[in-house]
Amino acid sequence: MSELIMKDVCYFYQKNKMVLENLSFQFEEGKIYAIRGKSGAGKTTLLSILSKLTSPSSGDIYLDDISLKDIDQYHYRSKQIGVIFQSYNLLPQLNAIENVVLSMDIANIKIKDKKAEAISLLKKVGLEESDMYRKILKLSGGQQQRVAIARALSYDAKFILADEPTRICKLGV
Amino acid sequence: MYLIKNAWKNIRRSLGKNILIGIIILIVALSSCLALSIKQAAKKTEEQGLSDINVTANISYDRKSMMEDMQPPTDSSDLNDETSEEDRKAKMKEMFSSQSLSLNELKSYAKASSVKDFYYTMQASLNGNDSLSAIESESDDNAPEGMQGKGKEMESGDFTMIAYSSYDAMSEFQSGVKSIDEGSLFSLESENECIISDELALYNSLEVGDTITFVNPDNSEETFTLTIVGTYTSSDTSSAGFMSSDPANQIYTNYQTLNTMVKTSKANSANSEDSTYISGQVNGTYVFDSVEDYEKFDTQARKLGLDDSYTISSTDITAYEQSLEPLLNLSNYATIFLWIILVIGGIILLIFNIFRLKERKYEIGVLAAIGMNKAKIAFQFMMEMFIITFLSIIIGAGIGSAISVPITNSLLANSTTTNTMDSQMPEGMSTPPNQGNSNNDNVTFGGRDKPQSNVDYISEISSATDIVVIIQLLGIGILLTIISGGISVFVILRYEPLKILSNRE
Repeated sequence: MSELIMKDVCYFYQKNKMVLENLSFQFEEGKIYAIRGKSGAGKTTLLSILSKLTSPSSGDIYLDDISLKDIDQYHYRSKQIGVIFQSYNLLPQLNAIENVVLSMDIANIKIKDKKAEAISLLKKVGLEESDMYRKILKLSGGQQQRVAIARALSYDAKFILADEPTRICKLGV
Repeated sequence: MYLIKNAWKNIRRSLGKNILIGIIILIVALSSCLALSIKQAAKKTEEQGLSDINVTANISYDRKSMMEDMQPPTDSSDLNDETSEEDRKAKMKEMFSSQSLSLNELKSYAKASSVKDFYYTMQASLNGNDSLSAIESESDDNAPEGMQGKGKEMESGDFTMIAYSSYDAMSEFQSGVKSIDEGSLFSLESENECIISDELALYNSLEVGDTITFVNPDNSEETFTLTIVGTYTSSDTSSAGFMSSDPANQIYTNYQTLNTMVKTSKANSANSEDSTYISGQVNGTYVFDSVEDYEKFDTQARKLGLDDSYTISSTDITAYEQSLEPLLNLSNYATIFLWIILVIGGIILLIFNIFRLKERKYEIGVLAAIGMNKAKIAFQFMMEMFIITFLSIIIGAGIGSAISVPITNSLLANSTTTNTMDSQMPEGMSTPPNQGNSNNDNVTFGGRDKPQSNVDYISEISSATDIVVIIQLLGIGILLTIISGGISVFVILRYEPLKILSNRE
């Protein structure tokens, strides 16, 4: 059972503007956690720190007792955690399937038919097969978010960090 | 593997822009292919030609030293002094004799291990008697005072008699420039046989079997009679130039004949106060298997006692190098052109890449955010560039190899024309093509030196683009990719995914 532990995490953009202050928490693999807060409270910043897109100003985060400082950020994001960004961050020049397959490629997933696996995942998140071959920009916000979720699920991540995942899509998944 | 696949997909996705980059690289590749092909053709022709030519060399005295020794006194009163002038003439003649290596000396250097064969010639200047007139060429008439014939001051004769120790030494006959028209070549053993030009025979109404009488230019009472055994014709129609007598006045005989004449003349003038004997200049020709052997010969000859005031030169190599001049000039221009193209092409690609990266900043951010490391992102971008470059180079090399030969030959023809015009201009009106060639500072007695205007310039090449050029082109492609793609690596490494994505949001 993996654990993601925050210890005294602080984050500030400027010295006088503290966004996160002495946050300590323990996330356990397999459980669902929700973080609530007002707009500008630092939810997205926290997710950025947990996904190692940025580093805390002080304090540390541990994945299975290993400090994130000692883990390669790319390896961490491509294999250990999945991130569903608020604005999805999909590649617009690719279609839905290609976005998911690319994620598998980056994670070095050893599956013979990655395309079939991607289609299966996209079906699971409720994307119509006819939409899977459309370029991302031709999909609605909700459809894009489903693709982003499928991408996060495309490799065996220990934790999935989702930034406002229910903002647009009506999840029935 | 997926990086290469993605790179290829990305190229296809932005086909229009990539075709534009491809066209730029194609122009660079095509221009580079032409420049490299010219350079390669020049290199191959030079190497191949040098290995094919029959290398011969001559030993000659350094002209500068000789001229310094022969300088007339600077005192004007001495210049007007007739006795002093006579002394100077005698001194010059003496100097020519003393500075010419003897046949025994020449033979001693032939013992060098690099020498494959050795033969020698003797050359002397003679006049004809009343029934033998020399052909006066137009150039003789037009030549400035003091430049007519072979040094009027030295009382040169109207005819140049060249005597050979071996038929191999008769290079012009061997190469087919000259051939026997009537009769036969003189025998190497018999005495007093000679061959004359068909023009001279016609001019003096002479036939094979007739005898002709030559006169010592410094002693009109001394005569030598030879029998004409053949007439020769020459396919070389070039004029003699300012400094030489008409080539039709050259008489060929064997070494023994001229040597006897010179010895007799010396014996006759032994009791005379003036040096009126016929001066025979001996020249040895050393034959080598290869250019390497020729290069070794210098060291070996010095070890065998050759003085530093003598130089060893090869008219074959010099002539061949001269014939290569238009091609080498073209090769030099091609090198400059190549560098210009590479610099301009590199700058254009660099600018293109900077714009391309700005356009794809978001893509870089997303890839980094989902865990693709920056090195892989940079590799993918470089790979895209490399695929475009590679395809353009393949097309460029294909077109280049098809057009390189006709274009090179066309440029070569222009360059050859320029060189020919330059070389035909009187000295001082143009830069001598062999400026700086040390051979110019040497006096070559006999031998096979040709006037510059007679150089057979290489005016055509048969192949230009080869595997070496293709490899060089690929090298250029990789270099261009590294230079222009290097900026991608630099920029990508500096990008922070969170910043890119935040700005986008």
